[in-house]
Amino acid sequence: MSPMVEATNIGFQIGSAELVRGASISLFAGELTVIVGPNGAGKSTLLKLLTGELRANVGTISYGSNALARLPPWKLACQRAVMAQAARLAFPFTVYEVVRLGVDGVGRAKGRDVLHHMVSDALAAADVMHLAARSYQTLSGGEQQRVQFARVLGQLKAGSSMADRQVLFLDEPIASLDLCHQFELLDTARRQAAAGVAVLAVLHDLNLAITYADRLVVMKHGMMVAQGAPADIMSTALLRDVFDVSLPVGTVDGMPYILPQSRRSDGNSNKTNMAA
Amino acid sequence: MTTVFPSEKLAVDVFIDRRRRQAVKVVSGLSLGTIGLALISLGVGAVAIAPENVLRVITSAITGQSDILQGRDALVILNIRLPRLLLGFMVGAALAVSGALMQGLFRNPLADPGLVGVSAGAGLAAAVMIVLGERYLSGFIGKLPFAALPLAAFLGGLISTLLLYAIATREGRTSISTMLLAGVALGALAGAATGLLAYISDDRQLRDLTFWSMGSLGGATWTKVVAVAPIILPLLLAVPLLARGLNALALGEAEAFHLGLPVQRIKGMAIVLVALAVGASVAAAGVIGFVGIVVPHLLRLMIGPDHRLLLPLSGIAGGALLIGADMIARLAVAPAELPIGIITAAIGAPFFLWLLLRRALGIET
Repeated sequence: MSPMVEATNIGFQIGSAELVRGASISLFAGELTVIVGPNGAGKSTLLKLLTGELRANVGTISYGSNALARLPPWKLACQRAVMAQAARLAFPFTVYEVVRLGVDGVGRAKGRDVLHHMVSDALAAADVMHLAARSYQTLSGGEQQRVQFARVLGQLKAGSSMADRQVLFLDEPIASLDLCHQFELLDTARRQAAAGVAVLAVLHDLNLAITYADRLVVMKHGMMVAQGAPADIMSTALLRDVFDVSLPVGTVDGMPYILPQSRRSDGNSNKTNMAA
Repeated sequence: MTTVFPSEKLAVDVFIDRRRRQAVKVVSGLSLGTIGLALISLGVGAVAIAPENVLRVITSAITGQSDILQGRDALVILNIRLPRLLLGFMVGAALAVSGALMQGLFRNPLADPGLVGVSAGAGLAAAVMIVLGERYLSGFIGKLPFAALPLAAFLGGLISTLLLYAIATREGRTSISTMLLAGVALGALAGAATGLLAYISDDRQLRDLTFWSMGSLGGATWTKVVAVAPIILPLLLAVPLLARGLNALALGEAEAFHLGLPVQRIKGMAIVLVALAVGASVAAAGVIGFVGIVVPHLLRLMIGPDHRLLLPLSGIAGGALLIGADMIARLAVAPAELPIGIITAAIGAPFFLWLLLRRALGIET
């Protein structure tokens, strides 16, 4: 199957700082790909390059048969939705209006009732229906994040009739969420993937990344250092090399996991034997 | 029928209905209020004319009944007060709309062409034209007597808007403190240059300059109305095209791009429209401050921040505000007149302080 988004050997630099170099990545329909890596590894930059927000200095990115650089903004908006890190709002829009912004542009040709339904569905999917009439600016960070998620879900839905292939980009989508909503958001992302959307998320929680990702991309110093199914690439050595932490990687039912508690039990040693 | 338990989905619909009803209320109230204000404004002044006479003069002017049009009332209304009313409405509308545009563009509710030096830039360019125009640019002005001042004011407004944007915006984010401080600096600089021009000007030019710096609708004539209308009216009609873009821009520039909008084009259009609107209004009535910050703000409190409604209503409310302010300017020290800029500043400056205080206390608006 051909990838929905294919980046080949892309690089990006500002001045002398190379934020991303030599990155090649393909996003497939029905697949949830997760990027992990330490702070400053270039995860967000890579995501911004793939969404078209930043232009790669070298390499090529294509959406299907089209080069990313040649797609006009409105066409691109039908094919991909982007949830950026914590977004602040300039004016006191209500939650309903913020989600409505997601469907208004792409769904311009659709009737008012259709758009209204899309907004309602998105509000329900992100569990923010009860906040619909609240001003976005008065919400907590986690609630704002869920509203932004509802907005991108709405955009995907509005664009789905105009594009046969769609991509969902999520940049640290669960950074401010409570445990329950972390699961709910990632479950929803999985469902989107199951429905044929290619999903790319940047996550910091390795256990969640392992649990939800079909494919894990590990970055360090702007480069992709490992890529593959979580069970294949997650290892004690990878944790040490990439994240500079000594933690044993255990497995349950063939799925890797990491327990920070082991640091406490024997003073930062990486020789702990984990009972699986 | 059984009673349906009020679900959350219904609550959304109720809320939307309420917003819509509120909008209808504000639109109709504002329109009626503006018409009423206009009729009163045509009636008051050195010669008091009863509202029914005002109406009669207007209707006969439209239908062309000449007997009434020969009377004194008709002369006062049609030759003096009506052009002044129309000019005031257009200038107020242009100022309020450009305030709303700038706030959307800078993603900040405190932006205003008067506060951040755009009006001062336009005023300086107008001053250059007044004082140095005859001496150095007479060939050019001779060909385009009506266009020279508005054109100069437009260029002045455009240059200061671009400067401000370049100084205050980094990577798509506008720093509020940088913007306001840069605006103060630009305004002071333009003020100093205007002062220098005042110093070297002769008596007649000095009087003109004073008029510019404080703003007045006193010089309103049909000629001026006809000169300004072709700039301001198309502008007011074009502004709603930007509404969607400004709404999306409120989420952030990157987000607006992700939503499929041509962000750079929207920003460019907004800058040019602001410069045109401010330039035209400064050319017609001098520097009138605070309209652009007061009007959109009050409207946002009533109808919410959606630019599709906010921009056109700002136009109407801004026009009404200036008509009202001009009425005060004419009546306060009658038979003399106050500069209208003093009235708008007296209303707007305390309002602006109140806004700052609200923000300082953590009430985001």
